[in-house]
Amino acid sequence: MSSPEEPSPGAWSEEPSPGAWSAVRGPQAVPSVREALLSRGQAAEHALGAEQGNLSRAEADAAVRRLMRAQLRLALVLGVGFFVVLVLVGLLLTATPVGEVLLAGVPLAWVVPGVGFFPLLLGAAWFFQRRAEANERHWAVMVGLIPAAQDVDGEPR
Amino acid sequence: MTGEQITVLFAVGAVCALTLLLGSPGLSRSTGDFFVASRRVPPWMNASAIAGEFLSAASFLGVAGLILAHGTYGLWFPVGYTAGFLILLLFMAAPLRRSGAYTLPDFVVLRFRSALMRRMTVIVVVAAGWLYIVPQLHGASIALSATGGAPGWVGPLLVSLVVLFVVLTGGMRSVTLAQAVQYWVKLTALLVPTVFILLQVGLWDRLQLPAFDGAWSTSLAAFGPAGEPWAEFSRSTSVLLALMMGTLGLPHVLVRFYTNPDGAAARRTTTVLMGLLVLFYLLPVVLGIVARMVWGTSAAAGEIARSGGLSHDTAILRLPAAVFDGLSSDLLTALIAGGAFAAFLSTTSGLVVSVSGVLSQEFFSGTVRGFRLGALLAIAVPLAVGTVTSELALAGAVAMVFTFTASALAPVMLLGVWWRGLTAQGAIWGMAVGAVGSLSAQVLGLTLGEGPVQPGALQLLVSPALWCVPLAFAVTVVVSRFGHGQPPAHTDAVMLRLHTPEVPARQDRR
Repeated sequence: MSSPEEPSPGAWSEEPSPGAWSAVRGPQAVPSVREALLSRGQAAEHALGAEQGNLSRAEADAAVRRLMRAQLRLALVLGVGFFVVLVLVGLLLTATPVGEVLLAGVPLAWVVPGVGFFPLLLGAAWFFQRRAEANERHWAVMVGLIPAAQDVDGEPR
Repeated sequence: MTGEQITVLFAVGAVCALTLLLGSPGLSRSTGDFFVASRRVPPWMNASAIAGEFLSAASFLGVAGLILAHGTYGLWFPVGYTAGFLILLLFMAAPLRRSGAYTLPDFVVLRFRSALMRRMTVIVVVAAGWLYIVPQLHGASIALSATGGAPGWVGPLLVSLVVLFVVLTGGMRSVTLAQAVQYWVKLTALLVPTVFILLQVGLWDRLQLPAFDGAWSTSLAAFGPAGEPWAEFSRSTSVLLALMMGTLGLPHVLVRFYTNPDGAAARRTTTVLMGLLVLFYLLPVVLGIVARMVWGTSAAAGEIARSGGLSHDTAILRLPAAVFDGLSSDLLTALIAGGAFAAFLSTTSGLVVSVSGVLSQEFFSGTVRGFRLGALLAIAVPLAVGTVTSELALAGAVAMVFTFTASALAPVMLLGVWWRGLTAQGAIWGMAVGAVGSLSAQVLGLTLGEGPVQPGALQLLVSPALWCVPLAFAVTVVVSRFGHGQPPAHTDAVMLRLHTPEVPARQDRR
């Protein structure tokens, strides 16, 4: 299958003659990246985001990269951290007799995987959502989209 | 025909009728409506819809069945399913929404500009969808034959016909409300029986149950000896990794993220969704433990075997009859059976819609006729596969699909969103190695040994996620780094698009 850089008009169906019915086929080529990126609405918002602040395009891009690194660091700490906790707890329950300890008549080997991880999961999700939104607010202040007063719990850098 | 069979068939019929009604052309909205509505749907509604589509036969029947048969091993499944959405939240929710991509192949084209890569993604997505539908149909078969007394082929055929009707007439997918309702139907269908069963057996006073303490022992007489502890540990860890990473590649779940207004809303939706999943999963965990108490003794094991050659997947369907007599037993069984059918129908229709959409775009030039052809293929292939494959445990079969998507799709998706250095060549190799490695290992493991617990090295074939997922990651990175390919020219632009937050609303814009 070919994928031309820019879909040529010929990739679409022929222009039908007026008044005649003809089968219409969908686009036959992969859309170009520019087409895919410029979906309605968001494209306008992006242009706004880049130009409204007092930053140049390059500075605005660098700000997004900083934001991206901050979000990735946060996600990695929480994601890898949770998996490590899972494995360590599993190890503890397998290798030591901790699992046989009774809590209200139920062994820990049942309590911990049965209900113990759910509060942890929900807590991690809530924490991430809060921090990620704070990171984004901080970014918006940095590029001058919102006044600094709104960056209430943004991380100071 | 017994009273139980009548009430069960009535409940299943009612759920099918409700699904047909919600999916019928008169009530479903147009595509245009769908896109407009996407701006108005609040996160809790979207979260209910995703939960409605996600909670499948494996969650509804399989988890309790695994707890009954394998003890604590089964408890890790709800943790893994929920943790999968944590990973989705952390790494994918907001960028995926901001990409504007509607399907996985769309995302891959945006990121890699490679027709080969797109074709490969289509094949992986379709294969995953097919493999995921098989246990849904299998669940319908055992649920209807265990409680309604119907022959094994009736359940799958019923599900196929209802789903085909709904999908072919164009409903369901567009109706976020219909899927949201399915979640609450499933929750009610387990919550009410759980409350009644707990009250009846007097769990809090530890009355009337033959094996209260026996329930906690690792092996039950009814289901053979327990595995060796370290094999158990490796098996649980492997399944957890598969479930956590595999969620990133579920086509019917990812489609739903497009209906969020923006990236931040996609994150809020995922957080609410995790709360809904936790709420639901407490119920099969409780029911699985009660089932262990009821059938924990070997005398009860003989009884369960006599009551119709049951697999443990039908445990929660048999539980009301073991605890109650007469009409209350019939009604509760019917409620659970109806909820189970809601699970089969909603998951299957979500999968059929995403598989047929991908098939028609790729192979039938995106026409309506192509979509219908795709829908027929999407359900006919699993129906045929389901009749020839041996009967695997529901949750085990679904875990196999998660292992497949975790190896084939998750590395490419994760690195595609977060790593500029990824090349199309690296992605192609990573996806190929992950897909072929995980599939062949599992097929080989299944042919070499029966059942999900195997000694030593064979365990690594039966549940290969522990080496398969890191291998796919490593191949993707190494080929990108040292292969002769270059990152796609538009990588920077795409990255900015994925990670730039939507401009926050402000009052002083004008």
